[in-house]
Amino acid sequence: MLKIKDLRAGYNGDEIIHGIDFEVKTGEIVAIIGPNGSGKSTLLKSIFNLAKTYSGEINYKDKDIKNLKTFKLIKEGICFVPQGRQVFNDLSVLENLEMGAFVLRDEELIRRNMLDVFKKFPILETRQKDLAVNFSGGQQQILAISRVLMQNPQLLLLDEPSLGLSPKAMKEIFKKIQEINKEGVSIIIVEQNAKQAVEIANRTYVLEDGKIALVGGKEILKNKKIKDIYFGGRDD
Amino acid sequence: MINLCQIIINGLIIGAIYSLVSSGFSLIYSTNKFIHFAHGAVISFSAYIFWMFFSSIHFSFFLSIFLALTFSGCLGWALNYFVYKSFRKKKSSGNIMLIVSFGILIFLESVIQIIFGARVKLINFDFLSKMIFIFGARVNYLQIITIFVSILCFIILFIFLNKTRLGKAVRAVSDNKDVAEIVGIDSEKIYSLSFVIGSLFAGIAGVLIGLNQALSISMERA
Repeated sequence: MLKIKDLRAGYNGDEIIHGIDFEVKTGEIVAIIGPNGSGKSTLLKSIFNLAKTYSGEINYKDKDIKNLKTFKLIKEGICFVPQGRQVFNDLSVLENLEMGAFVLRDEELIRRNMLDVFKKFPILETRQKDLAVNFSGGQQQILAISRVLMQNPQLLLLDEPSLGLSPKAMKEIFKKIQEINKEGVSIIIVEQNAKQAVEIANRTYVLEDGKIALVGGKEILKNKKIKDIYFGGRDD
Repeated sequence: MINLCQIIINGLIIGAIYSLVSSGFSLIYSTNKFIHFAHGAVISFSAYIFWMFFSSIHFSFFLSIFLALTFSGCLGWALNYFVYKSFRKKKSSGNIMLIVSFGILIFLESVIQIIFGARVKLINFDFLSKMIFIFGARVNYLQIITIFVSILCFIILFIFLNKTRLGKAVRAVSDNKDVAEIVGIDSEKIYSLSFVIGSLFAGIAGVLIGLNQALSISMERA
């Protein structure tokens, strides 16, 4: 579905990603983990054209999507949830969802997507007239994810969805991510919470200094490097 | 009692003009996040354009209004497209944008002076000067129209921002530009739209002020 070859990307002339090869197959959850500053978010942003791509290839369904404008990426089915529970604070829940579907023109499709979101997240229907600013952290993250579900995603890019959430809210978010994936949506998830991310992922890439240091499945958690980075060398 | 009524009505009229000016100004500010000082010059310019078409070229009243409002909307678009956009691309700070807007204000006032001269201009439309009495207070037709137009514009703007897809996109950009772009809203188009609408409101205020008082180069500061 998504194939990245020898990607070099960054911001303002500074290269942060140094030649990465990366792949996501249809229906997969792929986790990207690594220490702070390793280039996880930059890799995700370069797919969504929010970081500058200096060289390499980004092919989505055999089509070059490098430097494609945001609304075109959304129409292609690639949707991005930024880190930090970013919602439109002064807009109601309903308006946030409507803005999620901004690039869509088909009113019937928007209505269907809205009903689908309400079915998945009943709290959004109950509190549809409330301002997003009045939501808790976990609810705001649910709203941010729901907002992109309005766009009919085929490939969902999630940048640290559990950032700053309580353990309970975090668990709920990961459960919802798995549910979304079961509906056929491929997911790339960038996470600091390595254990949770690896457990739900089909494959995990470990980034270090803008390069891929490791690739593997759930067994990757037993790797010494991962234990050193995330668990201080311990086994839990 | 009559004096009180007169004071209230005069206050309503001034408030109506202020609300027109400020709603356009705040629309531009909320999306663009800088103070557009040249908004006042757009008011003056549209008043002069209205004077030119109505009192100098003698076009019909409504055609002159239409042309003045079209001009003010286009002027707002042009200021954003040719000036502010290039500074935004260079990621200029709010302070730089503020200084730029001061520059535009001085530039536009100078252009008005070059085109129309420094002499005070008057727009005479006798029908609007006819007086009526409301609870003993003297009010002319223009003042009633000013209040009516102001309320109407406010309602239209409210409906646009709260009930239309594009209006909600304007609010989304003013709330969080980065997220708005992530959901596919073109923030540059929204900046442009807010300048056009804001300047259109300035144009309406300019025409009403022009009908109410003498035109001078820095009339917007009064």
